[in-house]
Amino acid sequence: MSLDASASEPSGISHGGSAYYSRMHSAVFAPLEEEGKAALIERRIAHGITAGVLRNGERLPAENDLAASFGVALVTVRDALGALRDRGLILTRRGRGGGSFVTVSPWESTRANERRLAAMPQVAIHDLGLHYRMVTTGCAELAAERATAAELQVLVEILNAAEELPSSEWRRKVTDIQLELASLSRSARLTRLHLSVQAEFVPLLSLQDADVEARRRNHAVLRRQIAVTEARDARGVRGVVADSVDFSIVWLITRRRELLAGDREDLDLGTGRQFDEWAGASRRTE
Amino acid sequence: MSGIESEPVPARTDESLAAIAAEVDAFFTGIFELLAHWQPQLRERLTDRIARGDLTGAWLEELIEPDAHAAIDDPSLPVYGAGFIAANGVVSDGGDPLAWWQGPKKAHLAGRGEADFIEYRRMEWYRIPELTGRRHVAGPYVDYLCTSEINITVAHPMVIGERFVGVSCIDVLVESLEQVLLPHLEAAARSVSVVNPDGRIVVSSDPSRATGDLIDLGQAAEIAECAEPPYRVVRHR
Repeated sequence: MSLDASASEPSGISHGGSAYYSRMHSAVFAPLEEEGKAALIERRIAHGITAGVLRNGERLPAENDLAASFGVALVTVRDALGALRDRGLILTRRGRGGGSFVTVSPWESTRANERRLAAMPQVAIHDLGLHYRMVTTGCAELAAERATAAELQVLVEILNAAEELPSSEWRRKVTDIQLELASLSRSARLTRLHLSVQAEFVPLLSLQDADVEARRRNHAVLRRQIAVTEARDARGVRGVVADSVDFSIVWLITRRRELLAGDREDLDLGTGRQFDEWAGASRRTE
Repeated sequence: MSGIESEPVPARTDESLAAIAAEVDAFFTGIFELLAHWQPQLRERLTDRIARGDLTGAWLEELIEPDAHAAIDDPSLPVYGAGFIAANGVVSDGGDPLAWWQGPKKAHLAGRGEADFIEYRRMEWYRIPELTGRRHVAGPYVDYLCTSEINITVAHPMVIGERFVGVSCIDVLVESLEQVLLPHLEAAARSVSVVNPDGRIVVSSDPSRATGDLIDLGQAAEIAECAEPPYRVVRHR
């Protein structure tokens, strides 16, 4: 959980041996990341909210429990919650039945995710996508060697039950299934990496869910990933997962372009509603 | 090795597979006894509260904490995490159905509301005891909800009347199990693995076999059965 993959590693490795070692040498003594623990907690919870893992109205664990589970001082948790309050992501009520509650609707999350996507350089979106792709394909390959049919059957049932759910619920289930699939690699390190990069990427990925075609495609890909995993086809599953992430990267870059082109109002109207309307309509026609 | 056969080679005990299986059983007996020890009082208190319909998350936490702490502190058993997970609808106030502590600091796991636990309930350590009404050893699996490591979970169901009300669980990291079992495996003359009922390696003395690998039991040279869990000790060809 506490894995921080964004550490200050050398960004490039020179081919000259001594230059390589001097880079490695300075990396050993590189300054620790300046960002404080409170900011890290703030970012984690904010991602949890915009990814839909923490839902509108959901009560966060008590401050003491948060301090214990993050392994930080109470004051650090309070700082983080204060910052989240200032950003309008949570609301704190005192007294009986009090606590901190998520105050962001799926629609507001979408707006926040769109703003983040628009603000990200294209090169950073590509790099985040590639990081995600390498971790997920690595996990998927191992899972193809190590998962049992019974383990996968449980996931098929959850996926089938999720097919017609509203967008935010569907995304939660899919995120759960993807994490569970990663853990079937039986690698604790890869699973932690997956969790960490997934937390960053899912808020962006969820932007696709209002796009009926993209959501249908992503659903079908996940079903296919499970089937190919069960067939123990490590190379096949690598291809399925890589293609799917590449599709999402292209989708995100295209969406970013649209957002920056400034047709905001039109986009806002569609977000989070199109799919639910489509799902309702398709149920009625059955 | 064959080149020095005339020399007295330091004795390398060829511990029989059955003896290794007995070590596995002895380890799990310790964990089972710990869990069994919790049950009578737990049953009594839960029965009472469920009948009154006021089993709150806070009450559950208070009830479970002493046993969970004692388990983690027990110097004779490498317990990493311990606690109780209540079944759907057992906790009456929308409180936390997960009463769980883990790690050397016995950190309480910050849980969430009742609604979010439905997904936890599909996990092997919950699903199988619920289905069979019997205790179960789940894993090895990567427990991303609790330890963030690869571990096994020993789960003991609580059934009151006809109703399944939850599971008492103990987490043991594979690295701890390895410390206990590997010396015995290494005492055997050839590569030996402890394998779970799926054919998944728990611990192996073969450097090329990793925890989590699935093996084909049909390829084994020799197999000894453990009592409970139904693990097997396998000598490889």
